[in-house]
Amino acid sequence: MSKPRPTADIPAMPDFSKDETPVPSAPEPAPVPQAESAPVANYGWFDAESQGKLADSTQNFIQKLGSFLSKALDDALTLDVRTYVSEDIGSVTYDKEKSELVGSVQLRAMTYVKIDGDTLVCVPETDGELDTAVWAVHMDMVNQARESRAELMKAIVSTAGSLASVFTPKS
Amino acid sequence: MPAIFELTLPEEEPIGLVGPWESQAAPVSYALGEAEADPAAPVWKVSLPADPFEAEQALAQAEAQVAEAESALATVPARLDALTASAPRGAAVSFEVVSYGFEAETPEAEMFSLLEQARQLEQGRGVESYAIGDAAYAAWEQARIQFETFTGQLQREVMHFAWVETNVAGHLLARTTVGWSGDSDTVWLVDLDAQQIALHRRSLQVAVKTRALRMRMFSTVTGGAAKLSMLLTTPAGALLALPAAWKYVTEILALIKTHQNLTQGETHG
Repeated sequence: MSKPRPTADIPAMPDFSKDETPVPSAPEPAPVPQAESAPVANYGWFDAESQGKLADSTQNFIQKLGSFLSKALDDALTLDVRTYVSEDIGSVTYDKEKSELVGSVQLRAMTYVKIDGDTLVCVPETDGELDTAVWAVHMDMVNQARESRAELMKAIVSTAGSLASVFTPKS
Repeated sequence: MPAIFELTLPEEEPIGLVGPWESQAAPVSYALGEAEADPAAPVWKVSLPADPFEAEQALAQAEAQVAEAESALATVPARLDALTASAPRGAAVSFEVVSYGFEAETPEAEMFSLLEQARQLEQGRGVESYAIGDAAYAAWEQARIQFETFTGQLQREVMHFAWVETNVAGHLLARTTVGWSGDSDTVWLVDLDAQQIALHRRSLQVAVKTRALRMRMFSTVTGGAAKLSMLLTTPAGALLALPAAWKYVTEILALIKTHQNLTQGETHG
């Protein structure tokens, strides 16, 4: 059921209620004991406790984003890409402590690039020869990682900028 | 078997999915074997048909869907600029009436309807005046909750590595754990051919682009709320306008997705 809303500065709607067909009045209802709380939806937004709920969650995100950004900037000083192969890929898990894949896997190539250009590369070999197939796949993944990083950083920076506009009081 | 692109978040249904992605009820089955991702990690799972041509076609479609969603999102700031420039402003303006200027259920009409709620809240209409069944207020509240949930999901996404896996005809080809800074570990099934390798590379790219797109959704909503707040009167206007901006952005993306599904249906039909 919609409540009447302020409509100043706009043409007033005709008051159709005056033209309504008269309806016989209902019999006087029997008195009903008053419920302790009125049947009003409490959506939890503008009561005193939760008034700033949206602000809190967004600010919470800003804080997390802030700490994430500083970590991401630290991480951005290096790029670490590793390529593994496995005959039983289903058994592979990610070890968070070691930050690497574990299980039935074989590390075949690794690239570690520092922002100053220092690069550590572990090249795959088969029978003493460079495994060109694995190497090509690995280099593709390195290039893709570079592109991903640029794209994601752009998105994060743009997010940080837009957040400022929400929390800066307008003049 | 049609291609399926699924996003799984730990213990909750993803909000604001774009492009080809569908939600997968957690916990996800990690296909073949006992492997499990970090339980807190989002899992982007791409399941492709066995036919190489169909698999490539499905990926091409997914890439196009993400690109279309990116383009649509990029138009939002300009669209909002145009709307706010022409909309009347001031404490006495009813945005509900403004919304009548748009075809019902368009993103613009929905947004102005929610903005009207923001205006009324801004003017101090207390919660006690909202009777059960006030559909407009319920819609505003629903949008607020959705945006809050989305923000929470994004928080968790940025704090964890994502898992991206590619399956063809139910067989897992490769898995990548990828962080926001680009660091990645990929494990490939031995003896894959070039075409299979390309499938995973493209799946990974679609997942990573979508992840960035979700972040951009957030910034578009917050930036949009700041624009809409110019139509309101108090400094808290931008916060009150967040649900309206969220609704606008998600409605535009939903329209794109519906159109894509129809087009895809026609292609397959």
